[in-house]
Amino acid sequence: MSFRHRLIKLFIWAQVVLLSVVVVTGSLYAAALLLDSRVLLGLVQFPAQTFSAVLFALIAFSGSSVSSSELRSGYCSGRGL
Amino acid sequence: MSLDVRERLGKIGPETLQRMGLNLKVRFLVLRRSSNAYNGKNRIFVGEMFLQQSTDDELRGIIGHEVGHIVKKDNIVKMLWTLIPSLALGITLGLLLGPYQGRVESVLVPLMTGIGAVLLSGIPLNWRMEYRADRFAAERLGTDVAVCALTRLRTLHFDGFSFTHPPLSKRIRRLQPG
Repeated sequence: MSFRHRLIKLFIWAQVVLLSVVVVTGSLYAAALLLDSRVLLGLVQFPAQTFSAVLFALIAFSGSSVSSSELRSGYCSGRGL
Repeated sequence: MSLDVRERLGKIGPETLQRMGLNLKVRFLVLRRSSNAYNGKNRIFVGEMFLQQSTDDELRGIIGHEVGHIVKKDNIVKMLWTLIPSLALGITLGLLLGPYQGRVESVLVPLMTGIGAVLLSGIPLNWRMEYRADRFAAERLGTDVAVCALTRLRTLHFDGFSFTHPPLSKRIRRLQPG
């Protein structure tokens, strides 16, 4: 496996881990708010907020689309669809 | 980009649909600097690099796979799979956490949790749709054509798993008998 492919694999696993952490900490955060548990809230508030902010930033910086002129011309630049 | 690439896709695309016995109105478009293929609403995008490096059968196989996604309406299924749980989760969390509104984190955290859950839970569905599109191409064009297309893709792409696609080696193994 080439270095580039190793890097891609690492990146994908990092995404899976980040999403899993966001789901777990976010669920615990919601549970803490609903149960009004200050102890649980104290434990998960910082990680839940931090990881959610990281995911939000990643999503915000990763969007792109194909323009209508590219579609009309029959060519497009190969950005994510 | 040479015009040959576009002409080739414009010739083999409709011919492949005919071979598959389908009467679909599909536009074939070339993706610049790409070696991948995608589908949109009655549109099939094939990467310029894939077009330059593939044989006719490999191109047919990849078009057959994308046609499979269009025929099975996979984009609609994907959109519904994303939209319905997101809306349900958003409404539920919004109602449950209503008293805490006004704090940024009480919106951001549940929102990102919902998006994370939808993305992770979508992996099995995405993979299933890929296997189904592979099978569709193999049934209509022959297993050899579908396998040779995936084998060519494996030389151009990362052969590992992703959120949307199973590893290419696994897809090839699934198509091969025995």
